[in-house]
Amino acid sequence: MDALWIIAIGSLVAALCAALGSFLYLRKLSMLGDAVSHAVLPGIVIAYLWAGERNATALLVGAAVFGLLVTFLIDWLTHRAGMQQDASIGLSFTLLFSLGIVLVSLWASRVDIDADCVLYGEIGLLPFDTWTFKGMEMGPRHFALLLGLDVLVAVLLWRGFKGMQLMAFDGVFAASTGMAVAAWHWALMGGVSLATVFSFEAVGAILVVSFLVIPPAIGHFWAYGSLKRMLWIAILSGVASSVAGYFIALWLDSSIAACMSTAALLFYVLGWLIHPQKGLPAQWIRRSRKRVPHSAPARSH
Amino acid sequence: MNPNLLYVLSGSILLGAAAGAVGVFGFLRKSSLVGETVAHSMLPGIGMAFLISGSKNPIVLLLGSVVSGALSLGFIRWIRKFSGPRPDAALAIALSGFYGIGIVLLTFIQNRGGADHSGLDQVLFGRAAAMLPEDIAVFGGLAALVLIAVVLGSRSMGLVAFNPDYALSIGWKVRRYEWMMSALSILAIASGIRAVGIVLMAALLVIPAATARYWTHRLDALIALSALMGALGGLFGTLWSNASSSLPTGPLTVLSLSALAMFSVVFAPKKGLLGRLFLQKRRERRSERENFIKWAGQWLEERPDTAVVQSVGFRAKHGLSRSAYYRNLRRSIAATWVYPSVAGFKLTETGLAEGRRINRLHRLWEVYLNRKAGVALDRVHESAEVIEHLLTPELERDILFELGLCENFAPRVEIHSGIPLQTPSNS
Repeated sequence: MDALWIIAIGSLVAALCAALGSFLYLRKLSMLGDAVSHAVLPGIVIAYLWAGERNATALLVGAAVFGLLVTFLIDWLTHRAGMQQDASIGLSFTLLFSLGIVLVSLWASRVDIDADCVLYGEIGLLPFDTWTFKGMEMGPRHFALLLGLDVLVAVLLWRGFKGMQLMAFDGVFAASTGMAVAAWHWALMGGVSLATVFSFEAVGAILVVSFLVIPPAIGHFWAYGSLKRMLWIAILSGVASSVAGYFIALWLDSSIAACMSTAALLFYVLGWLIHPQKGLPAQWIRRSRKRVPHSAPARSH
Repeated sequence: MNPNLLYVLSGSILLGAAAGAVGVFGFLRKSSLVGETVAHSMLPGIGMAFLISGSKNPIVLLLGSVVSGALSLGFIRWIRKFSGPRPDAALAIALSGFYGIGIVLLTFIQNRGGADHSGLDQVLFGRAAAMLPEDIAVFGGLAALVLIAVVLGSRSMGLVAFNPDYALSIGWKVRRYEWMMSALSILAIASGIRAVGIVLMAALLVIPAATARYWTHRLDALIALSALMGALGGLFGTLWSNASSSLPTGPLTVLSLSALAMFSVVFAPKKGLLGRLFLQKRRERRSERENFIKWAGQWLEERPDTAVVQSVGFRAKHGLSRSAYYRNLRRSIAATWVYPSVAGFKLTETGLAEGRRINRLHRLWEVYLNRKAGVALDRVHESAEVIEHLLTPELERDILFELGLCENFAPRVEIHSGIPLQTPSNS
């Protein structure tokens, strides 16, 4: 039963991150996702300190504040202080992440998280953290939280698919049609910081990046130019890697979240081997075929 | 101070300096975040090296991290080949993928028990104080070598990093220099993670270079300053973490570096926020003063029968507040442009000349815009109001030459005022 819960929580995290990450991927903001996922750490710690225990509302506020803070900081450093963009990203998130680690280390006794949890999460323990509603056992708390967030993102994607699609591929054109591109950008960033925060206890602040990036990359690799297909493939491969990762972790007796991320990487690399057009074997075959007509006239000289 | 701390301090200063110096190249290539990826990618190498050798010998772990850092760079190249022009996604995939494998190995080692693995997880956040003398000898020595290589090759590598197309066009073997830069940064990162840890290594590469950039624009000074910043970060971070036993070195180093960076962002003399604000204020004040004397000259031109600028009428005409009027009057007196008179002020010879000069530049720019850029007559005035304060004598000469006019060019009115421009007398 616990195995099922772990896989279910992992799949919910994977699906959520795959959906949001696809848009980050298409907008070429993957490293910004990395930055946001690092930078929400102080928000989480402060929320834990302030609310005493795991409190969803406090987490929400903490994540939103610091997720937005890092984007503002990057923006300010780039446009006001005249720092080049890659450097301002590098400075902002390492600064905030360090702040988070210092807070964790200072109040380790009062906060329910430690450095290990920051690094690779504790998905194995989440099934024991259950909640009850009117005396009824409702299953793991995180399952309910993540399910709610997944449904919310699904509804948003379903209702606003046209606009999101337009924005993902051509922000300038989207702006020219009167879309509030900036609002959508902030919504995406807010979504990423929320996803990071609620995935945090499951997979840690750094491994969440692999859930944000690798499944969308798989989706993009196999999508043949359709955003819908890309999203579905990304979500399915994310779920598949969390299932596969769980069993790898059982086999190796290792961190479950890290094994899920490794499984995703394996799926991605597998694509290079078996893709009928873009795959390596296919490319070699094509190249060797091309060589034949090219060398034929050379022989007649 | 105890000798052990001194030893650790010198080690972290060297590591910080090497990372800071190497970071300049990544900064100039605008790919600072590659360092972040390479650093995270070293985790599986360290785990593998420990699994295979069963020892925590610094040289073995170093070898492992160098190999997996190099592998990750190759992997990034591959991803770029397969997924098209999305460089940031390639970085993020390599970063999180390698890091995931590393965590798998690390937890595998921990859960397996067996050989003494304690302290292996210190590579994540760094613990400079826990460095043994042999660690410091290996890593510090390597960092010193990297520093020497950077100093020797700074000119050529700096050029390649700054402008690879130009380097290629003058026949340089750009690939070779890029290899050198990658190798140096891998070595610097592999030695630096001992002090600040894998997770925050990027900061030690990026922040010193970005900070140094606020103080200089010369390459050699940039490298020297960046190395200095890195060294200071290492120094403060180690001292601070030594003072509080529970805090890891990495985050404290990053916090010290960030403090240095924020100080520079605000206080650096030319590029800093305050410096730029000050410069802007000075320019504003100068153009205000120049406008004042220009208006005074125009006032006298329009009223040939008087030599006194009437303060009340003058202020009303140009909408000058009382304080602005007296501020500029005071400054103009100090510049010996004007001297006070009954109900106003009079202009000295220099003041008249200054007013004429500004007027002339204004009109010159209007003529230039109209003739050479084809701007309509009613659109030229606004731009000239700004440019008149910026034209240097050299630019003025060039514009006169462009227009085919002589130095005595001095139209009596602005060309947009409806009166046809008098052809300047070519003397």
